[in-house]
Amino acid sequence: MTSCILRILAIVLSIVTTPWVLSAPQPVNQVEVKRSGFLYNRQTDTFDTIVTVRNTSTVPLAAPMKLVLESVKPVSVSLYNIYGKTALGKPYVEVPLPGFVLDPGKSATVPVRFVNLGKTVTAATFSVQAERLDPDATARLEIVARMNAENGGNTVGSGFAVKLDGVTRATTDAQGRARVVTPLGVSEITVSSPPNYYGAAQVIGLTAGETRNVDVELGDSGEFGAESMLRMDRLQHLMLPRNIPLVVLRFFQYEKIVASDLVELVELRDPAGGPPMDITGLFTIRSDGSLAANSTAFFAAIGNLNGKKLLFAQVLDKQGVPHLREIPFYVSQRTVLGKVSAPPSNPGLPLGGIPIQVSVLNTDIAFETESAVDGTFPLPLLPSGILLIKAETTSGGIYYTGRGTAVISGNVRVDLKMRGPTDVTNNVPPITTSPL
Amino acid sequence: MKTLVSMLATIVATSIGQAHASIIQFDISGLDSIGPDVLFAIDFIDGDGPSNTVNVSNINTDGTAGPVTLFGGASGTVGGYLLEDTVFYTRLLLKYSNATQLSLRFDTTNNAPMHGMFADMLSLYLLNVSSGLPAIFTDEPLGTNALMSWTASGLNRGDLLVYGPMSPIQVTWSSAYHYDSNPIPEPSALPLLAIGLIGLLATKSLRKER
Repeated sequence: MTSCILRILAIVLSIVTTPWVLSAPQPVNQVEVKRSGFLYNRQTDTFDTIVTVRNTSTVPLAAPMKLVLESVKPVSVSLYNIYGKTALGKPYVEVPLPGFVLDPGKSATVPVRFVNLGKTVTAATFSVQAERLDPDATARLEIVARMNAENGGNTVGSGFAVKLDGVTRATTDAQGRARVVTPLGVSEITVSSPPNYYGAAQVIGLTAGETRNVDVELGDSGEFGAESMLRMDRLQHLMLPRNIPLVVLRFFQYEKIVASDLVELVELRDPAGGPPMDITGLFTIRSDGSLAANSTAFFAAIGNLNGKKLLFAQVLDKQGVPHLREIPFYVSQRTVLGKVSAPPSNPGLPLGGIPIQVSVLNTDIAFETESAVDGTFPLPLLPSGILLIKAETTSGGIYYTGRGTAVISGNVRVDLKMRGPTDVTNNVPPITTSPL
Repeated sequence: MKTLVSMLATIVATSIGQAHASIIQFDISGLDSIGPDVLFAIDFIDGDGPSNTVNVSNINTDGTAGPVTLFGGASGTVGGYLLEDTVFYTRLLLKYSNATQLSLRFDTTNNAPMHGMFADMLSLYLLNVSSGLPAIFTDEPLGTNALMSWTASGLNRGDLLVYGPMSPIQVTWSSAYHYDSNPIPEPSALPLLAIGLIGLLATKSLRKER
């Protein structure tokens, strides 16, 4: 009895003394991950939280730091500001690091924006991936960047991005210098500044503890933009709802919105290679630095709403730095009410909580949703096309599978039958549709 | 045994005061610069943990109250509204016509989130009546354009943050804790647990003595 109480007491004390540590330190990377509550973002239709990562190890962690979404409930939740997926297929966002390194004991924050058709996020777990800068496996680079003779031959100014094997790890100071601690395997150093200055140098044979001087010569290499991302408000799973009041574009750099100062070009591009359509005149800059267009005019300019679209935007920010990116999207305008239903072989089959995979054939659209107790499952507005729905569950040791395609050319109701082996043998139709 | 009881009593003593109910005052003026109609959205989002509630009361405005929209765990009437975290997303929409100013009060519980869970969070927005999108751009770091937010951290009175406009506008707002002259501390879950354990030990001790 006493030992039991002492155990409870230990748990209570541990909670009392560490009330802010909401997630255990990650054993692999020795970090603590904390998250705030949620705010609903009406512009992106996402539930947003701020995640704080603290380096609890004794060595610095270098960019890129990936905050990996290991698990989330319900399964229909996905990341809106996804940067990519890990080797294991887990989505992640990049954590912007001050100085591109997170020193021991220091913290960095990143917004995490969740898309959820069912408007609920009950749990999420994160892990962190970053490069450890162990002293016995790193060297120091003393980089000096200067222009080539054609451009004056002087050292560059401050703010030029220094990349090691493609990863930004520093910016130059006013004398064009940067000092970087690097793993020994690095091979290419580049220094660049948009719109057109770029230079590269190779390094080989670095040894632990070594300090090496590297000179990088820059020249005019043709126009390129800042390292930013272009996002379109309300664009989820590549689909832009037809019923939005405004089409809003935002550039993000290190997860902070870029304040656009001049819209240089916005055009609709044809994925098949046809001529682009200049729609720059539709967009104006708003006071938060985003670009907005009246949706009626925007969709009228698109004309045929079917099929994949590409939107290219080029702006200058308030520092005169160009940002140019392309973003793919599909226009979604069909209301589809989805439902899974029990088969004749098992009318009492539990229908709640079944993960459902949805995709539109011949497109890049694919996402997951989840059924409610009555079998209905939320779907966003969908584009015209052929919908593929897959679901699987078990009951009494028997597998029940739902799989079928439905042609979406208007607003429809879709009923996916969860068929067991007997139902398949009896040719129970896998899916039925009816107009709304 | 005495030592154990003493330790538990210490927990009770030190824990009381960690979680207080909070009273938050919100005031906004210059609403006529937005337009004849304004729409306030009050969001209460569940982080999944001990329950929290928010009472919205003392609503004073020189405008005319319009339709009220209750969503999720929101209930109440014109006099006041209750927001409960019985669902993930709870929302209260208040529309007013010809208002220049508005003030209201939030009375909240402040229970900390469970280990590894998100905290419950309250936020307030001024929306465009026709689009339902924020009518004011603020410096809220997530870009939601909230005017203020409050997090049920479980410590002190929670975390109140008030955001500013992205660019100069005629609308001004403020939000601050309202300090009750007769505060009644609300015990958090931990001291309640400790009190229970003390009772358990006392019962056992009495049985042994008998």
